Amino acid sequence: MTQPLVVIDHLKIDVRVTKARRLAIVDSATFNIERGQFIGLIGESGSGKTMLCRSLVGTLERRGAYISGGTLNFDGIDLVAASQKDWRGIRGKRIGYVPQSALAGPNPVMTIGAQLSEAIRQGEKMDSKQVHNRAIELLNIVKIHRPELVIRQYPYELSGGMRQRVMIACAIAQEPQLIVADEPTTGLDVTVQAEIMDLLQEIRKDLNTAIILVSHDLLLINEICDDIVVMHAGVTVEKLRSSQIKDTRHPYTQALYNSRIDIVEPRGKLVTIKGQPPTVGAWPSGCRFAGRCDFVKDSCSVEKEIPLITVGDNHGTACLQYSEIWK
Amino acid sequence: MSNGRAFATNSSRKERIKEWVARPGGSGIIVGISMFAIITIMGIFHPLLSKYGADEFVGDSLLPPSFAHPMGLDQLGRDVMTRVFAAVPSDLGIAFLGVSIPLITGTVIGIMLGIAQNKYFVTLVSSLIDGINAFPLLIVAIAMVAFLGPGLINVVIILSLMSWARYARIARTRAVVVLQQNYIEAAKLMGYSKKRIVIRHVAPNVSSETLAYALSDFILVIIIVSGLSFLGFAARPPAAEWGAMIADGRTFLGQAWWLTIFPGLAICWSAISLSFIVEGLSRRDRGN
Repeated sequence: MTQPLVVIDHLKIDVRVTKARRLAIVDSATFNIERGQFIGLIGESGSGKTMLCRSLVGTLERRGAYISGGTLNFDGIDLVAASQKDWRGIRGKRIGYVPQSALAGPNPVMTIGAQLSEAIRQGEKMDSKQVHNRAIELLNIVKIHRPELVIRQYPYELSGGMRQRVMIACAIAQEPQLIVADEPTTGLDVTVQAEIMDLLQEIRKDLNTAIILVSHDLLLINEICDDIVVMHAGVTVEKLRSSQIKDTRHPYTQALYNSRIDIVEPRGKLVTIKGQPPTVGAWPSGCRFAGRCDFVKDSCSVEKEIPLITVGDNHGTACLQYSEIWK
Repeated sequence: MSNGRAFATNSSRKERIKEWVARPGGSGIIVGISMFAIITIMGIFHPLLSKYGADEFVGDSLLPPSFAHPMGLDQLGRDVMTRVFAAVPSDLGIAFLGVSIPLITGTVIGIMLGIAQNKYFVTLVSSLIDGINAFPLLIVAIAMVAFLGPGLINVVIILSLMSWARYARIARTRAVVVLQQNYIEAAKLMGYSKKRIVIRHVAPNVSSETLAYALSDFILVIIIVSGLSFLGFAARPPAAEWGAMIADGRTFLGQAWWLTIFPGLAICWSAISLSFIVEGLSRRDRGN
């Protein structure tokens, strides 16, 4: 078995609040990303999804956060100990990033061509003709019509969906091994969202890139990803194949799945998850979902940390009661 | 954007220009640019176009406007029209220097303040900026002429020492905003170097703001240059300069109106042409 592309093991990310006070944002993230795998990361707001993504591109520092423990390994490189110089060779070249807000993603005073060529020139030296051809090629990959015209246009002349395509084109310019897509369809309508997702899948297939997709939308992730990682209050609570979603072994995942909005088969009243996720910094010991869980038992809060229990092929859950709940 | 090109077309260059003018403020910009171009071109080529030199005595003193001398002659028998155009380099040229030097230094300092992490440096320079901005420009300029002595170059020096602070304040405010924009974050995530991000991504977004301010500042600086000359602090007679010419002709206002009216009209013409451009651009920005 080959080594996974990214190994994340008990990763802990802290934020500096004051000189002495630290706040854990991500407490124990554990999952691997295989080469060419399409992985979906899901969780409520504040569960540490975005911070996890930032740690993969090494831009935690400017938000006052840092990795305080655990392992983060990319293709054999220890990213926890990586220097700025190491990062320069990785960020944008081997790990691409598709940012959250497509509408404000491209620089308003630069033409699309200028931004693309900037991304292209990060790598090997090329003359301007080659750069131009590569830019056209990239725009074709992301399915932008009439690339010869778009390359001369400014971002304000493009629609939101086209801007996000341009951002994806920039991200894949160096043919990275991993693309981090942090909620890439925020602010785009559903049809465009579907197109962007199709595009990501195609890129994955054609370039054999691993993609980590962050979203709130379990149905979306379930539909297009191979694997799902569920985060809750800074902890990985379950990882499973998307085909196994109905055989979840964690009450939180189940609750998320039950709270979906099914347009095709409306089920009457919307189901919600009761309560709020625990506040950052005030996490209870033991299972952090215990306060909201219908199946909670006293033993849930005994152990300080609940490890991922393997329950099947590529399936792990951090629920102590899973064998009781799913008999 | 409603006024933007809704859909790019493969139209010819001529059609694209037509389209550009038809958008809001287009006619104002064209009128402004043409007015400004006329006076600049006349200023540069007046030695070729005019039969007379700026300091040449060509006829009787205080000769009223005629076909030979459309703006008349002054008290020493010099051709007023030639002198009005000969003044362009010292008025518009000096104003241009007085705007572009503080524009560049102010923008650079403002961006540096925006990205600086050192609190003491930021506080120090910011207080300096606020201190300079607290003084009224014209009063300080007159006071500084007392030290430096009159002269156009000294006016440029004074403007460079004073005006950069206003540009720096605008640039700093803008830089702080730009640095938080998503496209800057995206650029960082693409792995671009810090230097590259500042020069290619931050600076153009900041300078668009300071450039807009510079255009309206240009009008003010033209008036300051000619105003100081009128008071005898910048260009002094017999130099051809609008303010100095007005000051010179003031004594003959009752007998020879053309000595003051035409240099005055030249100041108005350049200020109005710039106002047209500024107004046109801001209408285009607002989209009405």
